[in-house]
Amino acid sequence: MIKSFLREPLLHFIVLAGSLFIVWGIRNPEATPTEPPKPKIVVSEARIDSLIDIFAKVRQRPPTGQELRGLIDDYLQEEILYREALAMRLDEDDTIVRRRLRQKMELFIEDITSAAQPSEKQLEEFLQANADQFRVDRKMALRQVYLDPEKHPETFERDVAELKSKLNEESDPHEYGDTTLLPAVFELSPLSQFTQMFGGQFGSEVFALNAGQWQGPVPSSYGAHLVFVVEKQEGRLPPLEEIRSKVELEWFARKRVNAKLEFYERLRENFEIVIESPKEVSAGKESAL
Amino acid sequence: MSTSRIRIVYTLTVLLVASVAHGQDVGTATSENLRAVAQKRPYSPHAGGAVPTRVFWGDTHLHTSFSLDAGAFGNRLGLEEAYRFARGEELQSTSAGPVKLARPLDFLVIADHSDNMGFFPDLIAGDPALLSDPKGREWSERIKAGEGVGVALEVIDLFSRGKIPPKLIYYPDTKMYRTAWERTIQAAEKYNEPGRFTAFIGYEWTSQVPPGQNLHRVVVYRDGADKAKQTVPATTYPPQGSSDPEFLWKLLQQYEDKTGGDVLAIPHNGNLSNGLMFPIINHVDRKPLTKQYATTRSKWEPLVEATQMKGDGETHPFLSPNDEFADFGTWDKGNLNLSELKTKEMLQYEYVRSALKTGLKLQQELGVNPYKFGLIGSTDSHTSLSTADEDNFFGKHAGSEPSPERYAHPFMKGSGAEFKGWETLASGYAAVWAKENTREAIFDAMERKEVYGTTGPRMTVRFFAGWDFQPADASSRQPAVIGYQKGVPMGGDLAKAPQGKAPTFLVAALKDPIGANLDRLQVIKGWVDKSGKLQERLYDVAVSGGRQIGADGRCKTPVGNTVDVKNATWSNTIGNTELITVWKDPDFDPALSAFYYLRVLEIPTPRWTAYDAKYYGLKLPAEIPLEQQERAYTSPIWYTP
Repeated sequence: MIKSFLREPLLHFIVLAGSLFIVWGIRNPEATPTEPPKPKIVVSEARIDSLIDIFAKVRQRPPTGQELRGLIDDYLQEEILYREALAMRLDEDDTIVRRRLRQKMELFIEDITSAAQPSEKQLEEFLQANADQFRVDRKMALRQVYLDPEKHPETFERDVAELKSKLNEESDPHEYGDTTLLPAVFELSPLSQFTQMFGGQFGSEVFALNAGQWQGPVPSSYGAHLVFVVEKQEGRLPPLEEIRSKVELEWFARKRVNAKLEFYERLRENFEIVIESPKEVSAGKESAL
Repeated sequence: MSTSRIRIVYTLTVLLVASVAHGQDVGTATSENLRAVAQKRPYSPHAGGAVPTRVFWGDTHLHTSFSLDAGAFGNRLGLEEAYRFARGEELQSTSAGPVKLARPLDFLVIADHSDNMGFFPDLIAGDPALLSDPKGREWSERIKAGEGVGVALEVIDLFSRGKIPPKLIYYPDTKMYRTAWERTIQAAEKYNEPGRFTAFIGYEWTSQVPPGQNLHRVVVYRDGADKAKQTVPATTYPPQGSSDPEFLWKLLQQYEDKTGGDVLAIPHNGNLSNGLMFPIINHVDRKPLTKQYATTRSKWEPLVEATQMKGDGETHPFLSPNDEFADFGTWDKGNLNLSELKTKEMLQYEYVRSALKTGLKLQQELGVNPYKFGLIGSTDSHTSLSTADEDNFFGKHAGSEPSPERYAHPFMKGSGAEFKGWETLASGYAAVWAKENTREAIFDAMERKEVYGTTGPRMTVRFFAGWDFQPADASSRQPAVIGYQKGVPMGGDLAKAPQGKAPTFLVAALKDPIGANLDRLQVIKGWVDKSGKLQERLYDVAVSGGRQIGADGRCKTPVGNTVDVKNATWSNTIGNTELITVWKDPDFDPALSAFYYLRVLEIPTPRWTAYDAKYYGLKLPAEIPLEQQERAYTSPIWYTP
């Protein structure tokens, strides 16, 4: 019975056809209809130009053939790993990537808003509205003679008086007083510079004195000073044409900050935001800041 | 004398000076011939620009959010904020509220890491290709009309729906990208204001030789955008970059050849280089340094950043056992990432004092001194905030801005060692004797090394060497004028001793007007002795409070201490506001090459940790120092027979 079954031609046909089908399938894996096409990476001419350009800007010469192959290989490796990393969503929980992208968005909005030039009228209004920011500091030109109280323990007041009258006769400050590294002569300089060099209220105290004669002593961080105010200039608000670049700089800076904020707020409108309450708020921890 | 008469005298003097050939001769300022002097130099020492009369303060090493690591730590303050802060404006720090400097700085180098600088598309360049697209043209017009935010939102919307016009799609390989380098340059140009504030173009070349040896350099440009933007910063990753310093110097040379510009490089943190920063063996080929290396290095690296937040690099107690002030801000556990621990043999190749000594020896062997550098301090802050004041210290990075926990944060961990937050220093600044506050004048002063570094305070320091300074010069009314006239300033050279003479020094320091009084002035001398051995010696040359300097040139009496740690205050009841003297080297041998530099010590003051403890009401562990003596280091003056 079995013997006769094995001789059956139909069985021969089925077995033969089946095995042929299997062999064909193994030999031609692409033919399986479920496989998607491979993603393609094209290293474009523009990309290669850009690799060459960056290399040349660093090295001050174009790459050799071998170096260029190295650059392309390196680029390919980066591109492949980058794509696979994105596919694995490795970017999503990465603080550095997130911060970098946030920064790029902020720069994007900065760029796009910094292209608009302010009009004359806008600048003028900005200047008037922020006058304090653009006011020029009071200035004075000064000569000073330093007196170290420790070097005149008993006779300080007498020495000061003598020196003052001597100076008022012959006013070269280079000749008198105690040694100091502080300059004897100052050209017209903003009051802030005197504050920086002498400390405390020195600048404004001297500014309150009349010009044209030796006066003092005025105290500083170092001791006492006889001073001769050569010239004083009151603070003022300069006209726009004198400080245009400065006003523009501030105008753009303000605009930059506002644009970032507006941009964020408008984007935020696109989202429905849910903030769940944290399990436990550690109260008072932030109070010190 | 009336004001108008003074003006006439002044005008006459200027005219007289103009008729004399040059303003170079600063004249003789002794009282006997002062009248004769008046005909040689203008009445005002500022006029004619004969000598620098003002010291300018700055930071040559500040990172902003543009540095990848700074951004990673959460710093959100960019280039413009960094400049605004340095110029004295109040800002919101990233995490610790409003912040403002006690006094503005005069100059700033933003030195973001050159690797990994980001790109960003520039949609608004007015590129004809963009304008030929109707959408592109519409955007361009709206942007110019000030509707940037609206355009930006539309761009985002079209992108998210995949509807962006093909012509407007940007790829990194198109010209529409603007590099971070261009932004860096642009910001410097915007904030540079000659005469008031100098914004240098610069970057950091962050070379780290495996496994983590710090060979970082800051590169500073004298030039403006026109030159600087012709090239991009040197990087350290192959294939474009390399971590070999000779690679950097080659690129700097190529930059100058191409543009006619002028740049210099400033190494920092030799203390984290594990013996590679000031070597005698080149780590690249493991061969002794060559004359070529020495020549190139001395050409490009006239300065070293000797103190900063990641440790003070002047000297180490192991190298200077007789210097009781040597152990200041010492970071000696390992390399930068603590992947390798430090051994004692490495130290001599890491600190500036021993490097200056090594340089003398190499000069004898090679004919060129590769380590003939001046000294500055800077912050290396990654917060965009250049803070080096103890009572206003905003930390190394955004995560170490003021907080009750920051002292305990680990800064770096590895190999069983750790740098803790409290170990960071509120240090330092660079002081420059320049004729005016411009890129050119300050850069030129850096190249001639007429600079000094401090750990934060702004004391005024003068250091001159010559053959004929007399004790009376220290009591003259204008010591600096005499200093320039009879000697060379810090960073200068003495050659060929006149028969029977020893070098004399006019040294002076004036305390920070809002800071602590001064304890003492010390001259540090290094030399190669007859048998070829390297030597160093410390001399106290001026001390406060009437203390005595012994026959050995030392004053072992401490200045005292007024620090009230609990309240984080001190009083200027000890120390002097100003110290000045003329000193002569008592051990001079004209046959031996030597260098001399000045160290200025303040009286003890509270450290930033004490201010933290007071503000946050902390009880800090005993290992944490709460007070210190801040200091200044001048560039050396070299004697070469």
